[in-house]
Amino acid sequence: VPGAVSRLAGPPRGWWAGDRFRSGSAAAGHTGVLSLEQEHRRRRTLLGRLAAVFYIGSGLLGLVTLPLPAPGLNRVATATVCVVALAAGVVIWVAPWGAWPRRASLWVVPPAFALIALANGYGGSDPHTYSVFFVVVFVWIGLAQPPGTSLVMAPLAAAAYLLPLLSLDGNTGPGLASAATTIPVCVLVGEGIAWGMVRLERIERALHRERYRAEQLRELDQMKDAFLSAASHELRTPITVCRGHLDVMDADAGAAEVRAVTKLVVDELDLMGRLVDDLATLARVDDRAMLSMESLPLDGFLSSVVSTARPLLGSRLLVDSEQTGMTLRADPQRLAQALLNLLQNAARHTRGDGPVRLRVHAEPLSWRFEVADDGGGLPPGEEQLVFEPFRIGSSPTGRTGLGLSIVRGIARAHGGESGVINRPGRGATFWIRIPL
Amino acid sequence: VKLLVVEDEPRIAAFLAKGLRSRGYDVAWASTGREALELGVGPGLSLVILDLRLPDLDGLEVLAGLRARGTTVPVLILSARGRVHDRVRGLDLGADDYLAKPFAFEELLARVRARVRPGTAAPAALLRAGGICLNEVFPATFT
Repeated sequence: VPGAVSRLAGPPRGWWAGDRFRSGSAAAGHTGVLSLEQEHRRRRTLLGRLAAVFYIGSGLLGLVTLPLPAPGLNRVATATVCVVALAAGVVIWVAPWGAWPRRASLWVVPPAFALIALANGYGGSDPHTYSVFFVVVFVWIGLAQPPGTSLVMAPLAAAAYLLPLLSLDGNTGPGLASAATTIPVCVLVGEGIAWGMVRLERIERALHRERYRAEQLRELDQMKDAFLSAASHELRTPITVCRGHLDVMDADAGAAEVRAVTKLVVDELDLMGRLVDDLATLARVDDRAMLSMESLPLDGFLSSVVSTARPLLGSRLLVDSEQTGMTLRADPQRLAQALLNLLQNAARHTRGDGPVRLRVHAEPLSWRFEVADDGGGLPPGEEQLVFEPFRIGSSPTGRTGLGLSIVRGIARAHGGESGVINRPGRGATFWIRIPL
Repeated sequence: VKLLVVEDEPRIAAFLAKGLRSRGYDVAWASTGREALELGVGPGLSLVILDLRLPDLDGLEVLAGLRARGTTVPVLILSARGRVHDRVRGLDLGADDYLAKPFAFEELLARVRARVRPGTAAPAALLRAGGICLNEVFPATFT
């Protein structure tokens, strides 16, 4: 496939891929790799559970160590604080952190400080033990919250560290010294971890993007294989037919048989020629750069299309265009080819000598070309599929199975679109919309 | 000798039927997989020539369907899918022979002959009469 490599280097696309990567739903419906949003939700839940473990663990630790001898320990108050911590831990465990935004979990921090301060205020005489709790809180902040949060939380932590010292008897010197080293260390740890997390998330996002692209490329590659296999099948069939008919022609075949086989071979060669032409067209059809856009007088353009289509359709072609003196911007050759493909398609499907209507009308932002036949229409559900390459096999009676794919490609190259209004059993109206 | 040609493309079926009939075979034609499943279990059938690309069923499904219906009629796959892995798959699924399109008609005939022989030990191409044996394919060879 010419240009396949350069196409793959850009955003995944390819004329063999049809609609797969054009709609946003492709990304939304993507499975196989866990989406980043799902993963972040999981992480928020996990961090909420970690906070809960901290609350429950601290509460349990306090209750377990309550009977140990400690001078100046207010056992009733400490037990109350521990029970409150346990209860808060249970609430935090069951809270739906995954459904809430990331910032929401910041609310678990101030109560933690308050409980540490209370326990410290009612507790023993050694404030050094409490520095461990602060470090744990800041590690959690670093993991769960964006950079800067630790810095913002530092005054709160300092207050929680220092206020209980006022209620303690005796020398507050060791407590102050401990706070002066612990709080800056906490901020450093928290900010350091947050900084690392930001970088990790960036790498993670990039990795996800790459994985998604790789997945897309793999699918694209499969579709390309399927397309190539269909194309080679279509090209092989005429060869098989020619070779078969020539093989089975007897050496003493009559003139009539020779004539019949010759005609058949010529028809098949014509079909191959058309197939190759259409494949070549399709390969570059949705490339905008290949268009030569011009300002076209609509009337002149339509009459040239009609004069080309007349030999094919004769008086069955009815043209309906009330616009006069208007112009449109398009590549005249390509747009004419799209309309001719639609007219040929309609001619094949309309009943007997039924009419084929070509209609042009102006929409607010575009021109709409419609080709209507009153044939059998499409089977319901086939409306989008008919635009896929080789949806219908080629035949020596004229079609290659690529005509509508080319129409779609041309419409898209113009920034427009194509479609069909299907009336099963009563006909179909194919349309192209070209922006003004 | 009765053959069934399963081929959705009438242009190919036409010359297959013509060529095989001119060699004296009795040819039936099925253009869809369902038709093939109906005709493929009929009595007196000596060989099925099966295309893999059919409008309703995949040719390999037809093959599996025939085998599931208990018929042991030889099946020759005639397909545009000619890669090694396609051939191996077809043969593994119970086909007796595989020929890729486009093909030489002579080769198809030779393969058909090989399959419709009553037994590989005594090829149909050998005519026996008493102690004399005539090889139809190589008429100069007497054994």
